[in-house]
Amino acid sequence: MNDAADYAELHCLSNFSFLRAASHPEELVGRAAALGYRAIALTDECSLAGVVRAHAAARTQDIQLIIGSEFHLDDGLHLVLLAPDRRAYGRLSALISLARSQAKKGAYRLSREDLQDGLPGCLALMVVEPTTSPEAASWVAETFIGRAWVTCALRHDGHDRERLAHCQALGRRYRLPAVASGGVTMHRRGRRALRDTLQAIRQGSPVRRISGELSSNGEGHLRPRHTLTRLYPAEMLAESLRIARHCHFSLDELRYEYPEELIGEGHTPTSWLRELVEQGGRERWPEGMPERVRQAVEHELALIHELAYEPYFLTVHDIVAFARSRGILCQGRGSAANSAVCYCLGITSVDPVRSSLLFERFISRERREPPDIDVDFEHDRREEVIQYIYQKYGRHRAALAATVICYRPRSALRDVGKALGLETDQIERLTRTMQWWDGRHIAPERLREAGFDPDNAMIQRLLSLVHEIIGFPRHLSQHVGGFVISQGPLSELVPTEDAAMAGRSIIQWDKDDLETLGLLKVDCLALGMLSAIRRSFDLIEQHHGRRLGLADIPAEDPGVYDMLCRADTMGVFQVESRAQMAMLPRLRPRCFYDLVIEISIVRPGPIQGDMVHPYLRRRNGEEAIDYPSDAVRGVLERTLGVPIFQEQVMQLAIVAAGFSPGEADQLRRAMAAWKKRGGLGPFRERLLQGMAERGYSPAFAERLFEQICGFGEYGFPESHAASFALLVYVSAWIKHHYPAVFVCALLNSQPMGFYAPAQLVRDARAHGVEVRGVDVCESDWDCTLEHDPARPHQHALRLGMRLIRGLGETAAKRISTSRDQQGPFHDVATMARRAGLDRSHLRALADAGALSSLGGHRHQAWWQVLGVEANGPLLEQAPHQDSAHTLPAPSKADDLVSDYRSMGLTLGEHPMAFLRAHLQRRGYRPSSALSAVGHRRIARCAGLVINRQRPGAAGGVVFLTLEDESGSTNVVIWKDLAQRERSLVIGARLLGVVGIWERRGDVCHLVAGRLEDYSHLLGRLETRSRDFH
Amino acid sequence: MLWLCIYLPHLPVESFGDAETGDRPLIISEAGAVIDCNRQACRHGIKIGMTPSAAHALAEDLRHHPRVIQNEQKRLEQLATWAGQFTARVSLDPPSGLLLEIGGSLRYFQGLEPLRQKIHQGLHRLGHRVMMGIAPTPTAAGLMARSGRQTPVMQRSELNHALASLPVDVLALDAKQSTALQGLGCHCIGDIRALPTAGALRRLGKALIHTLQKAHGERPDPRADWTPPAQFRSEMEFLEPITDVQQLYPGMAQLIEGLCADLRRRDAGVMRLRFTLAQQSSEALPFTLGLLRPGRDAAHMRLLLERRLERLSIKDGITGITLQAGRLYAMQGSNNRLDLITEDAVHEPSIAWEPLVETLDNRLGSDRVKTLALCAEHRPERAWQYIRPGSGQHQKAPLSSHQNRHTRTPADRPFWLLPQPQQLNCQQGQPVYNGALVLENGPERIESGWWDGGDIARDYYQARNSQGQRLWVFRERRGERSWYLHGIFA
Repeated sequence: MNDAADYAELHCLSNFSFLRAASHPEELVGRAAALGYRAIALTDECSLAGVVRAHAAARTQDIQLIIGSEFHLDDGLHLVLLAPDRRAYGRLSALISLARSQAKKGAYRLSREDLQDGLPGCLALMVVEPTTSPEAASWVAETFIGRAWVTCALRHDGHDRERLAHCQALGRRYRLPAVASGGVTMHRRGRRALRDTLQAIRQGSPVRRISGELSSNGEGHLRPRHTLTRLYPAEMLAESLRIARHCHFSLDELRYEYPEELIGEGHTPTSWLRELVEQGGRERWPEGMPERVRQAVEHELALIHELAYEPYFLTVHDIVAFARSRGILCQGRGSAANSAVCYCLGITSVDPVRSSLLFERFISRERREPPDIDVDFEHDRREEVIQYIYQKYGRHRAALAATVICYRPRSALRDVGKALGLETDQIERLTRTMQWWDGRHIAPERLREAGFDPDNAMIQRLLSLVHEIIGFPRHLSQHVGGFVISQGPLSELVPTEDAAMAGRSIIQWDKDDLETLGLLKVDCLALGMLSAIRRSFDLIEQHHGRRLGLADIPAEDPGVYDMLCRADTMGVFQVESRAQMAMLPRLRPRCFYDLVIEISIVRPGPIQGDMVHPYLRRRNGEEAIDYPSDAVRGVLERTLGVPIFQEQVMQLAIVAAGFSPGEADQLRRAMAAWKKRGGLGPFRERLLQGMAERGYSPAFAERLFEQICGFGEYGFPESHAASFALLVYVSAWIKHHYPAVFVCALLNSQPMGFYAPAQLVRDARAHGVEVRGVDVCESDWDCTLEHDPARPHQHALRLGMRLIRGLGETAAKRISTSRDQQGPFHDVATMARRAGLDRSHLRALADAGALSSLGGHRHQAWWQVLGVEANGPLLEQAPHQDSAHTLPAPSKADDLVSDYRSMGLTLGEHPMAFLRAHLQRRGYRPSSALSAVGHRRIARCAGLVINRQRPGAAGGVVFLTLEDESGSTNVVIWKDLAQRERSLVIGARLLGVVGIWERRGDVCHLVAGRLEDYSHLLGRLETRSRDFH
Repeated sequence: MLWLCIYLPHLPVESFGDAETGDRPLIISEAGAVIDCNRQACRHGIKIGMTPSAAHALAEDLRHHPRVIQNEQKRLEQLATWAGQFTARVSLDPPSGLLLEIGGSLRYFQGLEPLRQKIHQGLHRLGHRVMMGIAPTPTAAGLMARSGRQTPVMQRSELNHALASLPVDVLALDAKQSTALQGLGCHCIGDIRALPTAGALRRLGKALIHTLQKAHGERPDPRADWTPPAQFRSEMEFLEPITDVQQLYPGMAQLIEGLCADLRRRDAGVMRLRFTLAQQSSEALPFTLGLLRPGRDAAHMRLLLERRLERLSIKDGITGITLQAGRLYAMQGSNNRLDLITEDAVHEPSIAWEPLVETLDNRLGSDRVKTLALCAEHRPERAWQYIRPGSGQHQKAPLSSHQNRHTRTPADRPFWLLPQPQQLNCQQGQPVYNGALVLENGPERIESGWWDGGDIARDYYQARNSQGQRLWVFRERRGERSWYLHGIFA
């Protein structure tokens, strides 16, 4: 029996060679280590997307990882290229980027010319088949002088002898050493069914139809060394080790190379950062930095210097400074708001004086991870920021992180089902049972319900393959806003490809990969409310002559807090959802910090329905507030002794259990993940012991630990809440003092928020704002404010043409420009001519009723519009003289239908008003009548479904909002009813609910007992609901 | 002139032979919406215009098929040919209508009502639901039929009144016209007619206004006559592969019915009915019915069919039937044509083996006349199959993705393959067959076939024994790891 020779696998693909290989990088590395391989090379096809995962796996096992990639050139040559050192790696990465740029997304093209320079440093393995031409081997030998090998994979397909002979012959003839490799596409033989399935999916054909094209056996896996020893000549196996020894590159060598142009003349990164911080400090505190802040700044700068993160802060500062210079509102969020340095640099807006910051929540020595700053920008103008980054650094130095799109249960079922030859209806039926998928199985009863036999071999095969394929990558997509910026060409750090969106490029690694390698990333996110706020400021300046900024809003205005306590918050940031509207009258915020708490306290989880938060109980005086020590008081006093924020837990660990700040941060991270990893074990011991040492009772310590576990997943970072609380206050202030401005800005910033334009307009009217319809003689693209002579201090809202479906901004702008420059329009034909409108524009305007001042009612307007269309472009000079014709006017119901279809809202009567008589006969009174109903009495309500919510943690409960002509009603549908009436709950547009009315103070809702679908009464009326899960 | 329009509202469903058999609901969809459904589906509450997923939610065992316009067109043409028995002037009114000028036929069929009944019953036998419209102009007849107004309009003077209340969607409108009419508030034809003609022409287009004028008899409306093809051919497709031979009978009988109607029209007979049965995953199966004398008696043919079907066995699911008539003979007296071979050889200039095959078919049954072909499969026992002689041997060229370019041709294969692998005895761990075997080439490892329950995992070797026989043996990789003989090299 031969000894098992040592071996290194040099040709191996993972599932990041999309739809070709059937194992995860981690599985391959793990298996190779278990088999005692010395090394394994991950050589995905024209890709390095999987190497970081392989690297993370290899770090924990005793095996060397070699980085490489395989290519099929356009003339058929099959090459594996390996990177033995950093420079070779850079060249390989650049080659991959080049190859991808030469083909459409998802594909690559490489020719011999591209390899002319021989890619100095890289090692080349030519894969030999019996049909490989000697000419190809000769070219390889000449191009990669001294660094080339021939290799072949022996796989018992009946041609091994020829293959090996040919390989050795070519090697001898062109003096290329022969090396053994596996051409591995899976880690175990048992994956061959999945591998075949992937091929079927890739070729778009069922497996049985391509059975002849599949691999004939499962040899393409990582094989035991003794098998390889029997199969390959000893020197070929030994050669693999020689090559492996030659390679010493590790991804750990990759360092983030910071852009250098950000540093001022004559400065180092450190000194420049300090300079900017001091400058910023002077702006924030003209009278001088307060002592507490000074201490925090020094502490932070020291830590930043120790960890060498200065350039990161400088990069983010530069981006934010650009945005401010253009008047783009932006704000840092998340843990970065814990940083005084960030506040001085203008990145965040949480004043260190007003809040207690915990810098280690943001950066800690122990974490050994780079900081992660997320900045929100106005969603409308974020693109400007992105283009600035591309422009400043160049597309070769800046790119977005990728997101790996993986197979989820539904998509897995569809693709595998098709590959196994199932019919479309069968797949459809099975997809519906996927809701019962628990990660491994579907309960047999569910399958039987759907008409499948759970014991059927085909079904079992299907489910087993689906289980394997879930989580497999399918393709790369661009991440929302995570940028990687480097000093040198980015493609030498990691391969770049074009994203689907034009003008964007992505790297082949995702966020997690970047984190694993310690590379820095800046997240440029979009926030709709920032756009709305900036628009409000512009409108206030334009119409009231007052220029405001985020920092100028008068603080602590009691009128604003009154409004918040009434839950009159439609449109206000973060507090407009149903859950928030239910909480506001109970918490009754009266100061800024109350808002910070309000945001954090309404979270999914145990705080639902009946359960009253302990904080509220204490605030309402129903429970005593006590602290076991002054230290604990210092941490929890601001939240009445109840831990609400992640930072508080960290601080408690520090002051009560003696954790260092860095260790406390580790505790926080463990808290977030403990359900998955199953154990705060070691922390529990330390916590209890630490607190015992400091004299806290075991009962208190246990209770605290329970609380930590309880909200571990849901606790909010205080800094994040504080950043958001500022926006809550500002938006509420604008709504309170300038309601017309507010709704105008919100409408112009759509889509955003919880409510559709129809509700925003209704709410505005309910607050006394006059709303005027879209009119080509008055409206702009955006909604605008108009003077109301009857009320000189109020403005009326003129709806803008952006609400009209099918018009488009360019056409709308032409209309308003023409009006501004050439005066009013007199008839439809002239307007069409002057603004260059085509038939689809005219029809859209007619449908919206926007031609009423020119063309009369809708039918009349259509007649005119059709007349203009018929003119054609050539008859510009001589409009056709039609005989005038009067058409009958549309009914109110017809107008309503058209309003909804065209704009999604109406200024006329609410649809429910038309149906009231009919519904009244069935016992449904308007929602305003419900205010007279007592607690726990039976009540009925019917209305349009405008919101649907099914929060995941609420246990299958569905929340609906019904709207009628007098207001809206919140409905709660418990799980059983929701499941029984599933199709109604999901699909009904007009719903009648009979149930129990529940009232607690100002908060009321209707608990559904029975549902009736009246959608058919709506006829052609199109309604839309905003649905959330 | 009096026109009768036959409108087939369920042609999409009915163009499949087995649409109404069984009790499974069926929907036909086009562009993501349901355009037709069978009766079962309607009972489940499925409606036209729904999305297929919505339909699935209403019926668990729903069948769903995309629309196949070619089938509908073919069916329409077949029906046009069939309708020739009622009048000489038949026109197609696609996608789902036929126009018959019946003014001249009323007397022959003894009145309008009897004629309508005959047409209705005939179509019913052929499996179609029909709406008919009768009017003095073809366009008006078409509009009436589509709107479901079955009261005949006999005089031109009645047209205005009859058409005024028809809703506008009986006109084949495109989306633009539809929205335009909606925008103008025109809901029925009368509303459109109320618009000033010049203005309407400019705005709604000539086509629409002219159509209305044609309907009202204000504009000539010539229609092209339908001429049936010279060679009879009709087809039927099934939604679900039919595995029970008996279930083929109704479909084939229907096709025969259509053939005989055509033959009557031409005053001809046939001796050969060439059916072709399309199979799910194999080549099409020819099935020919031979008559001893030219004929066109549907009942007689059906009897023959029944008897022949008893002898037919099908291995694969049948997805469709095509019927082509053989050569046409004038029906004059009876000619004794008993000697089939001579006749065919003289009159049909084709390759000599085809008639031989047909004769063998008729004598032995077509299920027993076969030839061999290769399939693309790794499992040796499935790498070949019997097929009907003459059916095109289409071996798909394998895709030339780079990894398939190299070794997709299997290694050497023996000439003879045993019907079942035969287990071999072993002596001292080596397999024996007429002497000890020496393993020469190998192993060729074949692990394939997991997808249909026939997974194999074997190591194949070429072996030679002391008698000089070259054998193809394999060893199971699983279980007992026994040795088997599978083939012999010639």
